[in-house]
Amino acid sequence: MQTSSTSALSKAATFLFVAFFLGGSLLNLVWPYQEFSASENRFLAKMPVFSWESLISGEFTGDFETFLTDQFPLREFWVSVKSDTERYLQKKENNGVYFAKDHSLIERFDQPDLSKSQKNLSFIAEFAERISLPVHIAWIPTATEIQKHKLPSFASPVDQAAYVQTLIQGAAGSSSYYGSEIWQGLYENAEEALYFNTDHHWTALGAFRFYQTLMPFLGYEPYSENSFQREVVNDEFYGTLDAKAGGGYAQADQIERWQLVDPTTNPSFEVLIPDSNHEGNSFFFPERLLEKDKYTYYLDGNHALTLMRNQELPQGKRLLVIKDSFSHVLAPFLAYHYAEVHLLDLRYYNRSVDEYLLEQQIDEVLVLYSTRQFSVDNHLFKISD
Amino acid sequence: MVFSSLLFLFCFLPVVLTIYYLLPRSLRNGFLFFSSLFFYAWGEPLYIVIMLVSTVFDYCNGLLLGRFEGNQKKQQAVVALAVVGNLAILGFFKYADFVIMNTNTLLHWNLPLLNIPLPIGVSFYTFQTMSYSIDVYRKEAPIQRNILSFGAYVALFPQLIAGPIVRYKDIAEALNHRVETLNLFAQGVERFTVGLVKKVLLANNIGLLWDKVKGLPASEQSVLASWIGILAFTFQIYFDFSGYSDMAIGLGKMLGFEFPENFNFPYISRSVTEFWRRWHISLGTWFREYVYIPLGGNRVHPARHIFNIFAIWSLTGLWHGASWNYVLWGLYYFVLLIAEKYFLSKLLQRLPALLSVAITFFFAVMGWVIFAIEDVSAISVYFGRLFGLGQIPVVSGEGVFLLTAYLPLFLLCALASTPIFAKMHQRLKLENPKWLTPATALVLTLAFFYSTAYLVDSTYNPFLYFRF
Repeated sequence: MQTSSTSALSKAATFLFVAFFLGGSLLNLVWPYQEFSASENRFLAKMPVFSWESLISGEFTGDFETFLTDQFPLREFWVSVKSDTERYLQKKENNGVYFAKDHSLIERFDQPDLSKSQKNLSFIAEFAERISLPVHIAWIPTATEIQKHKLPSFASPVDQAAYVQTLIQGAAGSSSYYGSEIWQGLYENAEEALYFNTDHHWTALGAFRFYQTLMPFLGYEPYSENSFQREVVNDEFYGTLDAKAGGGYAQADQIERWQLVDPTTNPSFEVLIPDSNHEGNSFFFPERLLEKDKYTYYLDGNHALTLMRNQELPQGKRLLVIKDSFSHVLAPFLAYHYAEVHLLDLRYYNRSVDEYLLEQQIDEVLVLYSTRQFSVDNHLFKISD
Repeated sequence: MVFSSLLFLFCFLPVVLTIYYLLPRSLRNGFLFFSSLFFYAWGEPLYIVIMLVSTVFDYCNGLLLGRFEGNQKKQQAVVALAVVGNLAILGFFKYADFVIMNTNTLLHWNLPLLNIPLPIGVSFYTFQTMSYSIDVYRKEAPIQRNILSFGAYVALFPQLIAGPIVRYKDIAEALNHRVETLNLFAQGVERFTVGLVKKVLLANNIGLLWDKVKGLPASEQSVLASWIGILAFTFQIYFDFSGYSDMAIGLGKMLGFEFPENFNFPYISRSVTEFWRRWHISLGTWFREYVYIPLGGNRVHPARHIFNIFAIWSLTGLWHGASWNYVLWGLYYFVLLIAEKYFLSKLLQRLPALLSVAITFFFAVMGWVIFAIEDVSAISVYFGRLFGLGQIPVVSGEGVFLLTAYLPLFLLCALASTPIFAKMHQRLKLENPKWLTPATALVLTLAFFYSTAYLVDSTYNPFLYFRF
């Protein structure tokens, strides 16, 4: 015989189960279809089209599961619940992102793929030998190298200075390689907000500190900090790391606009972006501040080519930067010193780089990648001929 | 399809349960058969053919056993056919490449590999269907003349993928005359939820730690990190496997079945012998009943007895996978069990309980090293790291980081490996019955909630750099 209490328990347990899972499945059915996830910065899966072939190959069932999970009701809420739980469990990280000090997030970078990095470097060395122009090769460190003091205790990220040193030692050819000596400005100001709290990129200040150390190596005198006027143009940027770690931990970031103070020395620029037919005069794109990824405020984000022409310095050199997105915030600083700065992104640029050099009468090349991107990049082969 | 997926929890299960309870009893077995086929075909659309062949084959063997009633010779031939047929399926799909590889090595041949993907659950359902013919032959269960009911037994989705291995005689009665009740359903809900939590919240997360340790670069390897890694695996395999069994047993109850138990807190065992009475019980039962006892069990000459145990443990090892490390793992337990039986059992009994539990746990962990690492030559390397042989530091930065980051989860896993939560539940029931319902409801709600959050997150995939 069942006592009344077990039967009340049975009713409660059964009710909860049915309410949660049957209710959840009905909610799934009526939940509005969402095309794009802003926090994940990608298009979500659509309902797959049925065919017998795709069923037999297993493609249909796999796609259906992706569709179901992508369109799951309150997806971002669930993700933040998991992220918070991990933090309360003292996990110190979630989905490969450290919960770092001062309410910041720092992406893990533990083990660069050395053989891939060496291969990438050999493409560059081959390119440099071929083109008979001065080629400078340098790396930008990520936050785990510069802001070790912010990492959770006992975190042991890769020694990026040693990583770069290993690469340089194994490199062939007569190009100029720059190791961690050009990170001095970053190291010395490590307490400043050099990297975003919520994004894997560096800030304008970080780029400026790097610029200060880099320019003498390239033969130029950098402008000092107080030659610039800094202005916060937005203070609610939540970047990629916030999305990856699940949200709710890090403080929103500020987007800053840096410009030379003195109007007489402040040159005017032409900024050209061929693949979006943009012709303007500013490095900054305020309309981008309305979007999720506000880092695109700098030079409008990723493009195959971006050209900055300094109107006051036609006699200067023409520099080509082969780069990843870290250079978007750095390039305006460079532009003050050259007649033209061309940014070329091999992820999108599919024509011959050699021809571009000739066409545009480039004088010097700077290959500049963040260490982390360099160790995983799959596009550098495009310059190897 | 796996239980710990949004697809199963929010599509398959609600639909199947709803239809199941709307149908009259007479149609339920047929529906279970077809929904189980759907469940299986979701991930393995082609291999469903093997399962159907196996179903028809064993169904016919059952009918033949009935026709040859009274003719023992012919009946024995049918049982032999059933066993050979099932072992042939299992052997071909699971072990063919293993045999080819070893033949090539041994005879310096160069036979090409077949590269057949392993059909999910084949190790489980072939063992179940063998038990059917044997049970019928032994007159321990009646012949199943309804092919849909028989199909429901073979393909039954709760235990199809990872057990427990349900002998036919265990559910022969329930297959034809089960009674689904609200109380049984609710027990099923509780049991299923326990399993879901074990799998999604414990096993999956502690499993990440084992993956991390395996992936550490040489410079970050240390004695500490190696111990953290193998302990993580120790908990992962227990919560993964027993969680899956709990879910299967719970689903069985929701559908009116009572499946046999499969795990009983193995990590609190005081001896290796006891460990194996608490770990994967249904497999041990199967081997004892259908192999060990027919070989004469322990009522034989000691030499023969040792051989019997040797045979059982080689087979148990090999059953877990077509690779030498599993055989080695089986033989490891053969040695431990013989040692315990003939020399150590008295000693172990005299030790304080905590010490004998610790010793048994230690040997189980060492066993998992052999189990977890398929490459036999890498096993000794891992043992070397555990015991600080060679040039390996005791502590590495990453080791301490992982230890501090995972300590709470480790403690949770350790507690959940003991009956402490079951005892708390029992005490509540006896001492404060009026709190039982609200407390259970709260725990269930939290469990559903957090399991869903972790499952959704596991598919959360931020696309970091750009979009096309």
